[in-house]
Amino acid sequence: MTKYSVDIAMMKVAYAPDQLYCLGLGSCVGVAVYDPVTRVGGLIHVLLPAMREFENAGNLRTKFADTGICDLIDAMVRAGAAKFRMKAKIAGGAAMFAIKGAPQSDAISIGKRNVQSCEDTLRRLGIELIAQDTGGTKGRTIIFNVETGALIVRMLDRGEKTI
Amino acid sequence: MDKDSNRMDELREDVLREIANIGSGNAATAMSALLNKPIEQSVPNVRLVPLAEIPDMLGGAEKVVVAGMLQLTGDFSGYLLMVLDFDQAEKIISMVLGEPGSRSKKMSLHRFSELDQSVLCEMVNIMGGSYLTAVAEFLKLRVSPSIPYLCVDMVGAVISVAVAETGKTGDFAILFQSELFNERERIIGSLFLVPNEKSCNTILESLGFL
Repeated sequence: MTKYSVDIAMMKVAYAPDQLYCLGLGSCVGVAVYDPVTRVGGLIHVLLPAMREFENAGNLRTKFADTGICDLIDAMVRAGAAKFRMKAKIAGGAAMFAIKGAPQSDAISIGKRNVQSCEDTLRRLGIELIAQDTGGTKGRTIIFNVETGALIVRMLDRGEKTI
Repeated sequence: MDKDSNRMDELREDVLREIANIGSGNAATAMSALLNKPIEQSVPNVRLVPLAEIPDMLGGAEKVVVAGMLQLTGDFSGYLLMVLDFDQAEKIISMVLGEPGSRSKKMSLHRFSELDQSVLCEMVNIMGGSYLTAVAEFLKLRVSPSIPYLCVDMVGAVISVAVAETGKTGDFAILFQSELFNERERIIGSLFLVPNEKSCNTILESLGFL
């Protein structure tokens, strides 16, 4: 079994029994997709909601939820997964530096928009979102077990939770 | 900045390093006056870093830190971050307030009392403010900081807001890193200026480079 780290604006496709993980997700969202039959899984570490919102945003498609998730699905299909069987789980999208009771600036609410864009993109692609652990004000580390589809979410002061 | 290249030419790097030097020099002076201790700064590090590698520059994505942040707007935009380990943050607080009583071991902002938190906020304000004043004056640009924000979490999570901002205009971040230290206490903390890529061009332009 190999464990692969999926860094900011990166994605990775793997086969059971490998594991994929993202460390310290803040406003970023980790989108884990798997095919339970062929046991192909993919994880992407999304930084921003949508490529079309930004001009001159660079060439990294995996930075964005909309373009990145499409690329992840394509890569999984090439690796032998079937799109109609795919299930997705997402985690992250916290509002770091949020002040209780104060209105959130655009920059601080980026996490919420990331989550929204991930949900929209999955829906548009017809991929069922079966579980999520998003929002709040704390960072998360996630570990995705491609074999079982289990997504372990770790937070400081909250411990571990499997979705 | 050349989008396809992971390198900056040497001259530009020197200029940007000098800007960081001016900023953190002023921050060190301000902090020294506040704490009544000699505070020095390291030679600043200015690097063009791929987004994925930023957390490693700050000690790894899962390392738990105390972070203060100022959001910058004006002629150039971006973030100024002060990143501290727990013991560094506690040291700063006790330098200002005297030795504390027992402190909780919570891995959140609740580890610190309200008073402790405002000491840290004020430190971010003073260090960040003096850093920016010096840089803005040198560049003849106008930039204003937000109120200070404070957060205790994993490095990857605390910098995600700044990385998202810089990611809007490019696939790399320009990281200005300075370390402040006191001979006896060793390193006090690290300051990071993260302008977005457009702003970095504005900075170079104001110096006649573009």
